[in-house]
Amino acid sequence: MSDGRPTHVDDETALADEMARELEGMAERSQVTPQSRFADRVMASITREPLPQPARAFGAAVTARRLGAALASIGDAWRVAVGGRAPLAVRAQALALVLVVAVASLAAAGGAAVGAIDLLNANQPPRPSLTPPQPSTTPPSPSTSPSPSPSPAIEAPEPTTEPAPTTDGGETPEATDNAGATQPPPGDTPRPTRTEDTHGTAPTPTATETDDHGGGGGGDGGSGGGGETSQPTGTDNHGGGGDG
Amino acid sequence: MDAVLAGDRDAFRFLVERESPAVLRACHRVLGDLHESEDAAQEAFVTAFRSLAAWRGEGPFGAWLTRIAVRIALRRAQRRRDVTWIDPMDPAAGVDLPGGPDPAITSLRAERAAGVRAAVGRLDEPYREVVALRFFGELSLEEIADQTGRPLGTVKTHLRRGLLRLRAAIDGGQP
Repeated sequence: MSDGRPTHVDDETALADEMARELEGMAERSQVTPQSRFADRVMASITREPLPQPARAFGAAVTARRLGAALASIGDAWRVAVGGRAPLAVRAQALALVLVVAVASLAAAGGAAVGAIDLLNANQPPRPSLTPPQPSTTPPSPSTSPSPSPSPAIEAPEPTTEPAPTTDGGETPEATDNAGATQPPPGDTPRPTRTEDTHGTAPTPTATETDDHGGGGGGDGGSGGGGETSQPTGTDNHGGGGDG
Repeated sequence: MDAVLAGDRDAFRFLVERESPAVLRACHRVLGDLHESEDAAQEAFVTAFRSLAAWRGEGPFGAWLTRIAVRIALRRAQRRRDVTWIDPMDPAAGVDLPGGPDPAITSLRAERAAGVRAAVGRLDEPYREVVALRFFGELSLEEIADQTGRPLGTVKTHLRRGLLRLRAAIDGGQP
């Protein structure tokens, strides 16, 4: 005993038993029962509390396809994570759920934004990305054939619009190209010869000069006809290069 | 339990209705006041709901809940003023005495019960918890061992020493 009394095992046992009996008597006399409204009162308090395991509740809501319950569980997860009253493991789990949902939401929002931007760009009629190449290809032709074919080169595009008459003489749209190519009578294919009939005029010599350019351009463009009839399509190659 | 963890709050009502008598009794034996006991029992249920995910299922749910309730009640008992309220209508005040409620005996018994409760609250740990769980929470020694994670022999030793210390405190506190 701590109070200095004589301590024997039997005495201690008797004292402990006596104390136990007194406590048991107190317990027997204390037989209270909860009021009828006690459960309602407790449940009212429980309603204000976040769910004990929001991550599990979120999974159950998603499985049951209950969007409202899933959103509510995310809110509960946030409250549990920042509340500080739940056990550490539960708080960590809730915080992980909040982070996963946040990252997924950001990813979805980013993907939607990129998709919307692409959709808007696709709806715009003039695509800026296509127009620039044309000017980029045209410059080389004037640079390579500066002196001879300034005027023809400029005229070349126009003939392409005019080819309608040339097509009258020829048969196919290629003939229109050949119209520009007609200038190079030295060409190999029969088309030039036909075009000679139609457009065989003074510009032919100039066309031959442009043929050199056409050769280069044809090689770049890789267009079949242009490659062979580089001379005639020299002017065309400007356009062909543009197409390429 | 699984339904509550899956987000069904209403499923907790079943547990409240099943366990509330025992929880309220435990709180009342510690505190001695019905209204304060109800507050403590309510706080115990809310605390248990918050910590439900941490319950490992070792032992019955009622024993785990009773341990929470006894802890809360002991903490409240330590905070409140040392005043003994004697309510003749309180079952714990001795109204069940043969021959009707004698005011003198009721007063003496209530004073004695308040002294015992205060002495239990002043015990050191782990004796206080073991004595309170055994006699106020009505848990068996095995359940106390499961809930506290201590060996059964250790629990028995703590209970015996706690009773002896309690007896000494009561006898020493009385005039």
